[in-house]
Amino acid sequence: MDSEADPLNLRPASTPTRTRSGKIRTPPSNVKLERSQVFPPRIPTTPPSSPVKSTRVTRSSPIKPPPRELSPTKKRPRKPRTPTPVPDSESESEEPEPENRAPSSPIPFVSRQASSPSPVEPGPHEEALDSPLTPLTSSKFSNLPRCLNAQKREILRSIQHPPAVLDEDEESANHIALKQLSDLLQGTITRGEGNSCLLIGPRGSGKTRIVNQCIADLSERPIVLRLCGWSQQSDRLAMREIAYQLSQQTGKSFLAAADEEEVETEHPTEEPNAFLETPNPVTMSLPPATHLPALISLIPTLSRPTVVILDAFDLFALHPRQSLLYCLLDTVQSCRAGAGSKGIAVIGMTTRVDTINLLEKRVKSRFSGRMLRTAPPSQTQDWVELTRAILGSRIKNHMELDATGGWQQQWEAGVQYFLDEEGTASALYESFSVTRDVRVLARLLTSVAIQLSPSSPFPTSKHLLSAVAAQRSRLRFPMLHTLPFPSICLLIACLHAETAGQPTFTFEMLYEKVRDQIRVSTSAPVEFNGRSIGMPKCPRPAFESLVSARIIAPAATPSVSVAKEFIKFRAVVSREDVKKAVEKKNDTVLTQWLKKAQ
Amino acid sequence: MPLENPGYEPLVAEISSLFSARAPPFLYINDPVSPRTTAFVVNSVLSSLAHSSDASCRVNHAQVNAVVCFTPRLLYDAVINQLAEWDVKWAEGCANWGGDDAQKWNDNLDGFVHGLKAVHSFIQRGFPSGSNKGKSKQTDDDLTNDGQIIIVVERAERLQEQMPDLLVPLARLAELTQLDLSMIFVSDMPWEDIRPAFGASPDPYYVDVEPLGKEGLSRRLSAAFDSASAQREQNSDADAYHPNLRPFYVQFLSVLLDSCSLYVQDPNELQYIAAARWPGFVQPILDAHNHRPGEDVDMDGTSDLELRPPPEDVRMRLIRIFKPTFTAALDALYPRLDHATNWDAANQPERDLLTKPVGQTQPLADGGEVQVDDGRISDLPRMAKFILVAAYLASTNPHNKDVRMFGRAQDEKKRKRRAYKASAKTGTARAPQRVLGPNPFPLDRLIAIFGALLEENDVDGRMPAPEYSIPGEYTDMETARVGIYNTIIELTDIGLLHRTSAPEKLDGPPTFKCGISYLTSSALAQQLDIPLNDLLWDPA
Repeated sequence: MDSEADPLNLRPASTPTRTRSGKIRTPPSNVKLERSQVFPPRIPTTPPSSPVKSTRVTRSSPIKPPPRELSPTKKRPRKPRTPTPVPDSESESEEPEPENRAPSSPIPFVSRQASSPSPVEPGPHEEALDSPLTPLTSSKFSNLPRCLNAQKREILRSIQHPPAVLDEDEESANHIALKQLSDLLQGTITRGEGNSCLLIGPRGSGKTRIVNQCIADLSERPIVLRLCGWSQQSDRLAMREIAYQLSQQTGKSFLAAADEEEVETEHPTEEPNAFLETPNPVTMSLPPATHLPALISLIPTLSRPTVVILDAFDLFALHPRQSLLYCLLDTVQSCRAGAGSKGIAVIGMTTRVDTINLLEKRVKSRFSGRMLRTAPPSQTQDWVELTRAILGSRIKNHMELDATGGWQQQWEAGVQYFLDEEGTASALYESFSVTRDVRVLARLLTSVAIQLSPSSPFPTSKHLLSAVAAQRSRLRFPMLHTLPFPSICLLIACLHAETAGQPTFTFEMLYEKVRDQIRVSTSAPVEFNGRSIGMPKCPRPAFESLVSARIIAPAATPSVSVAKEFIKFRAVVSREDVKKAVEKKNDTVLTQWLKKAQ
Repeated sequence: MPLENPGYEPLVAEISSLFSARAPPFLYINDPVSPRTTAFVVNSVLSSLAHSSDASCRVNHAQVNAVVCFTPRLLYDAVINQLAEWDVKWAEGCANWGGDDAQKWNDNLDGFVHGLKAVHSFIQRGFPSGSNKGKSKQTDDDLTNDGQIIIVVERAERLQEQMPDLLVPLARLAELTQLDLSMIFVSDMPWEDIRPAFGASPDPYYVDVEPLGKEGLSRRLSAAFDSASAQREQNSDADAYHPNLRPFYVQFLSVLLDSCSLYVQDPNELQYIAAARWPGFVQPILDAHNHRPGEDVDMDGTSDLELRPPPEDVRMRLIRIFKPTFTAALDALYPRLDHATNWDAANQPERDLLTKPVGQTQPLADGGEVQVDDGRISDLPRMAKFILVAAYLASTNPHNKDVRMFGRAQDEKKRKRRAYKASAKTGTARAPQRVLGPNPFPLDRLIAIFGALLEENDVDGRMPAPEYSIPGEYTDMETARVGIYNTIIELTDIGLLHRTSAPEKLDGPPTFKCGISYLTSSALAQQLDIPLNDLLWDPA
C-alpha cells in the first residue's frame, strides 16, 4: 500500500492520500487542511495530532498550490457582502447608465422616459424600457394571452430547475464544493479509489444539485446507488434497496451467495460491459438478508465504479449499530486502487452539522472525514440575480409564437421594471433576511407567475407582496374570519371561558355561554344582515368543525367513558386572532360581546 | 372548464396554470370549510388536463383518499393502479397492476418507488390503446414533456395519524423517485399542524381556498339544478326539476341561502338542504299545474300547456309560507338528525295549497326548539325514571352536600338549605358541574338519593300498606327490592348509566356515572313532578 501511496502524492489537487495500516487509519491530510482554511468554523472532528499534521503538510508539498488558490475565498466574499444592504446598488455600479436604471416609483419613471428619451446610449435596453407600458394601455399584441401563457410555463419550468447563476461565481462555497466533489469522484472513476465524504449544508443550499451535476459530468457512467434516510428507515431496508438498485443497473441478479463468488471472480475480467443499460433486467429476487452485508463488500468488484449517495445521512447514523455505514465505509477503506477492482465513493448529504459526532468510533475511523460545505446565496444581490434569471427565461418554442421577438423585449423590460421597483427590492431583501433557502424564493416566484393574467401581464411588487403573504409569512389562521356564525360565537365563548379562569372547557360550557349571550341580546333587537339573529343553529357541528380544523384542540386524550359534550378542550387561537377575525366580520354584537371578555 | 366548477374559478385558474407547466413537487391545498368539494374540483381540473387537446400539458394523475387508504399498502396499490389505468377485476383474482413481469409494489416504500418508476416508463411507452395519441404528441411538441405524474391525497390529515412514517417520504416523493412528479395534499387542517418535526419535509407550495360567498354558492347550487334537470327524462311530466322552473329555483336559493349560509358554508351541506326542501316547496305549483281548473286533466299526461314559473305574487306567498321551514331543515338535516327523504315526507305542504284563499294559509311551523327526546327514555317504567333522576342528582351535586339537600331531620328548619355565603374567593370561578360532566358515584349513594326522592314524591300514590308503621319503612322496602337493582343493571346496559368501576371488582360498592343530559333529566323530573332545580346544588 505504501508503494502505491507514493505515486498518489504526485497527483493533482484534492486527491486524497490514503494510507492503510491494518485497521488504524490516520485522518485524511491535505484535503482536510484545505477545508479548514476555507471554512474556519469547522466542527471539531477528531483533531489530528499536530505532528502528524505537520508531516502531512511537508509530505504533500506538491499539493500546496490549491490551498493558496482557494484561500482568497475566505476574504473575497466579504467585500460585497458588507456594503450592500440595498440590493440594487451593485448592479447599478456595473451598469453603464445608472441614472436610467435607478429604482424609482413607477410614475416618475414613466414620465422621465417620456420627457427625455435615451439621453446617452439608446441600446436595446432603452427601447425595451418604455415598451412594457404599451400593452397595458393598448392591445398591441393580439396574442398576448398565448405569449403570456408560454412565458408562464417557461418560468415554471425554470423554477423547478433554477439556472445556475450563482455557481458561476468562482469563490462561492457551492462552486468549491462542486469542484472538490468532482475531483473526488474523478479519482474514484478513473483511478479506482475508495472515497467517502460528507456534504453538509442547510436545506435548499444545493447539495443534491451538486451531486447530480458531478455525476452527470463524469466521463464514465458509474453505478449510482441512491439511498435516503427517510425512506430506508432500517439497515435491512437499505440493503434490500442496494441489492435492488444494483441488479437494476447491472442487470445481474444478486441472488445467492454462490452467485456472488462467481461475480467476484469473473465479472471484472470477461465482458465488462455486457450488462450495461440492460433494458429488461432479469426478474429480481432479492438475496436473503444474511447475505446482504456480503453484497456490499462485493461492490468494488463490479464492472463499473460505484457511487453511493446517502441522503439524510444523519438518519443512517441513528440506526442500531450503524451497520450499514460500517459496511459501506469499511468497503471504501479496503478498496485498493488498481488490482482490477473498481472504485467506490460514498457521499453523505445532511443538514446536521454535528453528524460526524453521531458516528461510532469504529465507523468514524473508517470515514475519511472529508466534509464539503454548501451554502445558500450569501447576498441579497444573488437572489435578485436569480429572480432575474428565472423570470427572464426565454420561450424556447418559437413555432408557437410568431411575434415572440416583440414579446421577448417587452417581457424583459417588464422584468427589469419589476426588479427596479422599491417594493420588490424591499420584499426580496426582507425574505432574504428571514431565510436564505432558494426554494422559498422559488415558491414566491411561482406564486408571482401564477398571478399574472392578460389584464396585468407583467409582474409587479404587489404580486410579490401577496406571494410573500401567502407563501412565506403565513398567518397561523388565515381564514378565521370566514368561519360561520356559530363557530365564531363558540370561539368568543372560549375567550370568555379563558377570562373566567377556565383555560380548558367543555362543549357544554361554551354552549351555555353562547345561549345566555343570545338570550341577553335578543331582549334588545339585534340584526345581522337585516335579519334578527335567533339562537345559533347547529352548535354541535360548528364545534366539531372547529376541532377538525385544529382551532381548538383536546386538552386530554379522549376516553370512552367521557361523553362527547364533556371532553375538555383548549383554544389554540389567541385572543388577537379572534379579535382580528371579528373585526373583519364587522359585526357589532359580536364585537361588543368580545369586548366583555377582557 | 370554469363552467363545470362555478364558484371555484380562482382555484381552477391557479391549478390549471400550475399544471400547464412543471408544477412544484409538493403542494398543499387547505380548505377549512369544504375540503371535499375542493378535492372534487382539483380532480376534475386534473382529469380535464389529462384529456386536454394541448399535449404539452398532459398529466397523469391519481387521486386517493387517506380515509379509504388507511394502510400504506392500500395507498400504494391505489396510486399505482390509478396511474396505470388498471382496473382491479374480481374475475382476475383482484390482481394489482404488476408491470411487465407481475411484480408486487406494495411491500414497502421502496417497492412503491420502484412501482412508480415502472408506471412512469409504462406511461412513457404509451398506453396500448392510445398509441395514436402519442404520435400526435410528438409531432406538435418537440419539448420533452411527457406528462407529469400527479398524486392527490385527500384528507391528508389522516396520514399523520395512520401512517406518520409515510408523511415525510410522500412529501419528498419527487426526490425519491427522481421523476417529474407532484404530490398534492388536500386537507382542512393547516400544514403547520401536520408538518413533521425538524423540518424533515420540504415546505409545500401553499394554495388556500376561500370559502364561497353567497353569490358563488348560489351559482354552484343552481348548477346542481341544471344537472338534475338534464338527468330527467325528456317529455316527462312536470316535476320539480323541470328546466322552466330554473329562475324560480334561483329565487328559492337566494332565500334559502339568506337563512342558512350564515350557519353553514359547505356547498355540499347546503345542497343537501336545498334538495330536501325544493320538492316540497315547488309542490303547490306542480299541483296547480296538474289540476288546472277547466282543463281535462285525465287526457294523457302530455298537456300542451307548458309549465311556467309562477308570477311574482305567488312567489312571495310561497316564500312567506315556507320560510320558517328553511331553518327547521337546517336544524334537522345539518346534524343529520334526520335524512332528507324522511324530512321531506314529514314536511310536505298540504295538497293544492295555492287554491286556498290567501288569508287561510299560515306559514308552516318551524320545528321549534331542537327536540331533546332521547328516544330511550319514553318507554321506561316509573321506577327507572326515578333512578335516572337520582343518578343525575348524584352525578351533579357535590357528595358532601347530600345531607343538606335531602336530609330530613325532626325539625323542618334544619333541612333548609343554608344561604350560600359567597366568600371572597381568591381563585377562579368554578364552572358548574352540570357543564363539566357527570361525576361517578357509588351505588349506595344512588340508592339513598333514590329513597329520598321516593319518600318525597312517591308516597301519596302508593297502595295502602298497614303493615308498615314506621315512617319511611315502606320506602325502605321499595328501595331494597331486587327489581330496583335489576333496573339499574338494565339502565347500564342501555347506556343511560355508565358503570365506572370494573365489573370483576368485588370489594366496595360499584360506581356509576349518569348518562343523560340536563335537558333529558329535567324532562323526566317534570313527568315525575320532581322540582329538579330545587334539588340541584348549582341550578341552571
